[in-house]
Amino acid sequence: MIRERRQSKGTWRAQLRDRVRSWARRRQGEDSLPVTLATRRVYILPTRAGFAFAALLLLMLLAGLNYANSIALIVTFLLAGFALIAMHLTHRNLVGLALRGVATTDAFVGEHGRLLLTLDNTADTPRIGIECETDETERSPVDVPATGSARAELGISLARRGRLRLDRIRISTSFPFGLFRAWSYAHLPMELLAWPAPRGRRDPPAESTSGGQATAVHRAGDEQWSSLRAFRSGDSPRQVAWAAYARGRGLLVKVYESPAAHHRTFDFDRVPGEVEQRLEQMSAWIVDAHARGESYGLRIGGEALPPSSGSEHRERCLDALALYGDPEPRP
Amino acid sequence: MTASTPNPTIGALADLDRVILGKPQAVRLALACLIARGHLLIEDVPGVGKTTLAHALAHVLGLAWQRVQFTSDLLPADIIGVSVFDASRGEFSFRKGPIFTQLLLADEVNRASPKTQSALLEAMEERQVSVDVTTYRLPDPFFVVATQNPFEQLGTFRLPESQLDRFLMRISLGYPDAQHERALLAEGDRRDLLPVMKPALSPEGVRDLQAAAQRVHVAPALLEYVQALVASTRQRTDVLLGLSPRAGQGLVRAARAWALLAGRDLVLPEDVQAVFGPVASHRLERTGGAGGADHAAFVSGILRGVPVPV
Amino acid sequence: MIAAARPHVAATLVFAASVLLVLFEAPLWCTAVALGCAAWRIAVSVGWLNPPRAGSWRRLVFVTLTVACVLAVLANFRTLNGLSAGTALLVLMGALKLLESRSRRDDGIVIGVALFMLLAAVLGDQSLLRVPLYLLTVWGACAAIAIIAHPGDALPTRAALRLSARALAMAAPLAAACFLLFPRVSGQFWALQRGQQATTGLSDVMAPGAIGELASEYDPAFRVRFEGSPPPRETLYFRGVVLNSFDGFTWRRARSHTWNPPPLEMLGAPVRYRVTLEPSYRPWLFALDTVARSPRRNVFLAHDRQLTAMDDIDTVTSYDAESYLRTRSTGKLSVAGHRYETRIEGEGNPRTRALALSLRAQSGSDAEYAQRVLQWFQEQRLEYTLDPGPTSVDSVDSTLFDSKRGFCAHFASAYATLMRMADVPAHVVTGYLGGEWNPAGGYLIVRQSDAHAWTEVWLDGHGWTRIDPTSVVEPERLQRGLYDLMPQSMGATAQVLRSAWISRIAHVWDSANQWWQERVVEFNARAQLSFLRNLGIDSPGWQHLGWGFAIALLTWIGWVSLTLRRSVARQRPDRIARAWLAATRKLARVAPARAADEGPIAFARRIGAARPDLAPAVSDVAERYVRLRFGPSSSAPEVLELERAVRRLAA
Repeated sequence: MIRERRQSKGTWRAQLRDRVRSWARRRQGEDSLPVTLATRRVYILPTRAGFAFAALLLLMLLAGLNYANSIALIVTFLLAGFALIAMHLTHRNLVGLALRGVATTDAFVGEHGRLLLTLDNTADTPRIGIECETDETERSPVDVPATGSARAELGISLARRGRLRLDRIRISTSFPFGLFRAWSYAHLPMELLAWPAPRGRRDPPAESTSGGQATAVHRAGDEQWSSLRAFRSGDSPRQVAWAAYARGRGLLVKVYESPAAHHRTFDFDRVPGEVEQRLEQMSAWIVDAHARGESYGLRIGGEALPPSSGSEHRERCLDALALYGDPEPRP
Repeated sequence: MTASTPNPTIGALADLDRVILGKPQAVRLALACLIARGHLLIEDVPGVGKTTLAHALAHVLGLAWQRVQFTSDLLPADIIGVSVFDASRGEFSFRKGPIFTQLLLADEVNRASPKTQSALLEAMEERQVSVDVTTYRLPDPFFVVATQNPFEQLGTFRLPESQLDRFLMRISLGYPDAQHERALLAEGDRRDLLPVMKPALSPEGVRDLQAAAQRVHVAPALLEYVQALVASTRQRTDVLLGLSPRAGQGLVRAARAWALLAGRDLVLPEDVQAVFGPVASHRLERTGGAGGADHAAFVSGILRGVPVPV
Repeated sequence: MIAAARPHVAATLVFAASVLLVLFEAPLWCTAVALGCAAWRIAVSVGWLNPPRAGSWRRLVFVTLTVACVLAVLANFRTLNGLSAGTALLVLMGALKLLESRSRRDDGIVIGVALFMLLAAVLGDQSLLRVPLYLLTVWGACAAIAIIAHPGDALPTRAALRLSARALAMAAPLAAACFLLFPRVSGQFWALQRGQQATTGLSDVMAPGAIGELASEYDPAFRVRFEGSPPPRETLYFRGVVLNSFDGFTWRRARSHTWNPPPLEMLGAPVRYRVTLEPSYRPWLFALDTVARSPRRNVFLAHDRQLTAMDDIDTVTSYDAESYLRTRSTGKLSVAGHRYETRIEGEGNPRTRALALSLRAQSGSDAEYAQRVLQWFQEQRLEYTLDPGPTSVDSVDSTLFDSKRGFCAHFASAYATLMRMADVPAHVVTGYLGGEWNPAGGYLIVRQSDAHAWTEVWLDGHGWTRIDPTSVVEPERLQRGLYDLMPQSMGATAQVLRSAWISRIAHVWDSANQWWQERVVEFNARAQLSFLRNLGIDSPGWQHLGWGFAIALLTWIGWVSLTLRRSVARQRPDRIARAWLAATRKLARVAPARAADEGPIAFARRIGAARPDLAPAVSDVAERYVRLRFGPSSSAPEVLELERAVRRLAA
């Protein structure tokens, strides 16, 4: 279920960009965290505004030379020096930045998964307008404080169920003047799951109390009372622990260890319809059950998740749905 | 380095250690949590002495206590109380539930339905109970010691993550080591000791301790340390949501109580480190489904990443 | 305020500033339109006005406005070429861009247009006074570039201003090096067409009151820097326009005739000097009497030694000239020349004619006659005044016989007339006499008020001889300026500027301007080579410029890299921390070093466990440190105690 990258329209620009990227990839090789953006892996080029600025300077230079106008020349040279400083500042804004951590969060199809990046700045000046992006995301600028860290969050829109692999993060900046853009690549394997979108109107399977093999998890029998509590009006006399009363410990009520919680098991094989529809239906059931705080289990493919509740359980179930049909295990 | 007045907590700790064998750290944390006016969540398998700890705390601190065993059919009214019609007086009267006590042991809190849980959590937060239109203040001091079994899943409703931060600390006791286990086997139920022990403190004493904890000095350098710790959780990629400002406050409160227990009138980075795990771990939602696994390693990883101020 | 307003506002403000820079280049209505658009743009950005609704009509309105603007400029200037028309077009197009700008790219274009207008302003005026304005605009433009580079309100205005000021300051050395060393081309590929301006200074027509009108003008006409010491003051006759045609009332310069003058001998040593001429929008160049040759290309030296440029002087213009104070021409004036230089149209001024004939009859030679007329002027006790009153049609008659009052123009006119009526070749020369010495800059400022008129008479064996009739009427005029003689003639500005201490400041300011003009504005390929020569290069050429430029550029880049290198943060620890760190360093010898996350008490315990003998001392240090660092207060003696305890650790 490896998704192909967003198809760039076959323009020469896109082709050139792909060339540059694969060249950088061959040059740098696979990275491992933390990735420090050293000088040799930071590239810099003028932006479109930068090229326009250069054209403007060229015109000013020609005018200054032609009319032997000293002030025009001074202004031109001043702005040219300014542009060079701008290049330096932009380059400096990126060099030395370190990518310390990368994590992903999964999400439903049609929503945005997240890519979380921790950026470390050891310099004594802040780094402003650091933009991170992957092939699948837009840039999102973040400021990294001096001798501090910042976290960038990238939303990755998920269009198809399954595993989404990313292998490259582009970190760039055009701070402060937008005339140049410095960028660098970090080649890291990343993966996130697109859960099937919760869709479907079918009713969930009926609740069952304590299903067959689930009792294995359960530790106490129904017949055994496990503790006592004080009598409250309305308690059935049959539950009163008369023996304790006789020993002078007061009126106590036997409390039974009860599995009585209701739970359901969502079984893929029992849901009719196409594969994706069935997965979406199950996803919807899981979301509903979780919202109500109910306990539920899952059976899909060869996998069975015993009934439980909580966000971890929910994620485990949704992961199983997302990876249905994917031969590779979740790493 | 010692508080000017004789430290009443030493006696309390000694008594607790006599009842709870081989768990000095957990006992101190529990006591610090109460002195910091926080509620305590004990997460562990049954039989390691959760209830004993709560019982011992109540006894040693001289507090009135109630125990509620949470079950799936427990209703909010079972905890909070219920308005009953008094036929003789021809009007409704409020019959207070077990929550109206100084120390409430909420046993197996994950067995109750979410509705009941949230009624308890709300009362914990507000330290008062509203029934119909009347508000009843809970006693002062008021503590909730809740227990839950982390490995039990069938038919349970684990506390929602968003509500876990009502508890100042989450601790676990763990199995006793070989020596203490042998002592346990030899001497039988330690709870039997309680009736013969005199309470080391009283509710007034507890209130004084709480006030004293408020006076423990927190230096700017230490606040920076706490801030750096909290900030570092917000920057980690293995954490979905970092610690909230409320968690930061809780950390300072707990560290103050911990310093008081150590007999100091100022908070050290060591105090913050000691309470950081219990205060922070249940509030950190982790990414990548790395859930409950290995809290200790995770927490010490965070602590290692933040240098103490010099 | 709308969140994303700042980029729009910044770009618009820069645009408005540069519109004001070209205030004198573009017509007023263009400026008004542009400033109106800018105000509207800001009002919309900030949210005081609603933005125009989108729609197809908007495009139509925009196109219509564009066409209207082009037509309006065409109607105003009859051309789209030239600096003024181009500037006007630029102002209007920028204003239209403001109307439709929405995106960051649009803001960028607006800033680009503003920089273009800055270029236009610089081409129009390079004076020192405006340099701060140019620099401020550049600074604003750079800050605006920074602001629009960040979406929304990400970069505070202050930070943008600070950043761009720093970048520009760092760029300044490079700009200076480039300015000195960047190879210049000489000569223009395209000429600049400037708009028509009001003319100032001397004209080629002199009615009797003409020079007097200039007397109240304090503006400088030109400045002169002499090579060596300046010649004596009474010889500072700067020759301008030669007026050789008289109709009984007005002297004019007739262009129609030329004749070859007899050869001229230059006597004595030449005076070399550099003249910096203010724009007069007339073609005259001024030079000390008598100039040796044409000082530069496209300037003609006429048969009567008048310098005329091909085009009107519309910018500050400098030229190096060489003059001889004494000349001689032993040849004879040609017949045609004699005829032209003695002609008087009409039969006016009968009394003057009678006087001329009688005085000539009494004189043996032309030279004696010229002397006798001067003597007559002296005897008549003519009055030198700025306000001689109106003259009749026979202007010379009324000056000499009725009012007996006049200004230099009256006397020069009368004298030349007397000469011509006696068949002695003569003409009137207008120009400037004297000037004000600027001690701060070491040069002469010649003002419009120094304008003067005198005569030249042809004397056989001598050639053209300068005779200034004013000098016999008011001999002081040769030594002193007009304002010293007639303070009442000063305008208000002149009165203020000539007061003692202000005049000193004015001199300094004027010399700064002159320095600017000579050293910066007129820094060209030749000046570049002489700069290299001053650096010690014997025969400088392009390759030296190239080398110098490369070295300067590399030096600058190295300097910038060093300056901008990021330093890894190191907070300087205070005394307490230093003491504690010293202790941990010492103890690192006996046990593993303190980890960054290890607290002081935990560390002391660990050391104590490893080396029980050290335990008391270490715990003492740790407790002292903890009390100071985490306790409620710290006092200097306590810090000293800690430091002492740490020192004791070593023992």
